[in-house]
Amino acid sequence: MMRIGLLETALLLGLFVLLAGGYGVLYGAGKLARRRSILHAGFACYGLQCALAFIVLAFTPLTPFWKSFIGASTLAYLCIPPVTWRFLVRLH
Amino acid sequence: MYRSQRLALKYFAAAVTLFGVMIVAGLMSAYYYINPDFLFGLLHFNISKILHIDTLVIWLLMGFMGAIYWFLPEELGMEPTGIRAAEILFWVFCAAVAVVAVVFIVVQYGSSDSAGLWLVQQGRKYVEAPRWAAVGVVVVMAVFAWNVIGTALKAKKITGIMVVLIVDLVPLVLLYLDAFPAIDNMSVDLYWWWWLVHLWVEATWEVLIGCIMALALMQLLGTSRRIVEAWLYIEVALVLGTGILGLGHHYFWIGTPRYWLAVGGFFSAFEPLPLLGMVVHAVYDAGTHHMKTTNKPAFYWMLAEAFGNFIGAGVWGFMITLPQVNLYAHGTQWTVSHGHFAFWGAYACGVISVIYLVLQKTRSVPSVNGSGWKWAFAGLNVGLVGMVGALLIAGFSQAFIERAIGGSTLEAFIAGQESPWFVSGMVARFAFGLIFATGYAVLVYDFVTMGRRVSIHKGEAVTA
Repeated sequence: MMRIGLLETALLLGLFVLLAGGYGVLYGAGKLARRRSILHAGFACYGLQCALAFIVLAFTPLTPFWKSFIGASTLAYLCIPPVTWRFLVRLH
Repeated sequence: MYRSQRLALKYFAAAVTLFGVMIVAGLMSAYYYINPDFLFGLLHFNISKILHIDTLVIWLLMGFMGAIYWFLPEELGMEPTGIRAAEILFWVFCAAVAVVAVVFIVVQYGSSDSAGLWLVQQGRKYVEAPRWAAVGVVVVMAVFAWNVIGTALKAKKITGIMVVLIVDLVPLVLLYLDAFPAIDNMSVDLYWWWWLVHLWVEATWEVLIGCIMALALMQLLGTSRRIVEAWLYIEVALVLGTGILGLGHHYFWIGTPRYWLAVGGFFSAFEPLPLLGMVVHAVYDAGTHHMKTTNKPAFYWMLAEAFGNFIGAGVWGFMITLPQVNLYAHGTQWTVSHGHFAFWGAYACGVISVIYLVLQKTRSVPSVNGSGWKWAFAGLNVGLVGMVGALLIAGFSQAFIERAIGGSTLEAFIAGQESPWFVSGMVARFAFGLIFATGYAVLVYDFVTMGRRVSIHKGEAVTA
């Protein structure tokens, strides 16, 4: 049922952004501690975010416009922690 | 201490008091859902809800004003212009808030004429205050803007933070003028009303708290002005870039043209991106300072602000911001859950952080720590997260049962309200509200006694 599918999509979208947060925190923590394991955990979070994005694109009743937006923002999320980090290091 | 800083302390005291009133009104509003007969015939649910939301707006506003009055003379090196007027208006502001609250509780409703609008309440959500009080808010905000702008001009010192603050104060004052019109067409009325509600909260307030956090960061962590100003410019650009047209997510279902579905959804969906940048920044600051500071509560509340803003506004907001989903989620407890989390993260945590910072200075405490603030921090945050979790469950059951399955009929509405998920969600919200209230009591105790209590620890006197 499409309407119920949309509500399930809402939960997926929340998890999608939450995983982006996990990626950002672990990326920063890994850089600070200079520990590859934490950095890899951050990228694992991003990997899960990509998997969620795939589920949203393939299986949810969102319209193509919003699906393409989710796809594009998945790429944007990849860049934010490294770009922010590089900016912060240069600024300090 | 400058007179402006003494005024700041009064504003903080008033803000913390109203924070308490907000909690009491919130607990009452939560209890109505469990026992609808509560205070039947004496005080309606909507009055307690009005008190809850309006005191939220006022205590945060007073907290912001207190923070600016505290930092302004230090930033510009002089007493603010027109400080006498600001001191008088503080008492006028407090008296007006008290009178409006009494009118809401005792009179509750007025007649549907201009006397009702001017003397009892305007009936517009979040800006219910009668017109005489709304005029008063405009006067207070105008004098506040004059204090800031006039002082900057007189001091002939314009810093980057001051530029952002001054530019922000103009829409902050002007947008409140939107609290007055009483337009007969509900769609048109809501269209302009959202300019006030959304653009205050998701644009001007975001910039204001950004300026306050920039000033606080320089004092708390000794971060250089160059760094905080560079970050402030980026934050302002990103927040305004996404926040202004994010206004459109309020236009989905009020009778506006269809293009708002795309505009509102598109820009709102961008809003978590700058918030993620802020989270990364918070991790950087915490890590480079090794969590070491002379004011742990201020530092932890500042971190809570970055994370709370991301989760409350970013994660919770993104769940319901796409129009296809929002069709089922808007106006349910799901939205309430988002509102609670976002306001807490974006603003309340920041104001509490600044109050700790200010109290450390006024009471000359070399290092602020102890257990009181930890209990308050835990109680308030556990209570808040519990409340928004419970509201999320209740709201999801509403969206599911009432909207998606029931098709938004009256029968479906009743079925949604009687659902065990909804009912237990409301009970859990009240229970976590009590935990939140306990956290508030500990916070007030910590504020009042900070630097004044002496405990003996391992044979030596320690001030906490």
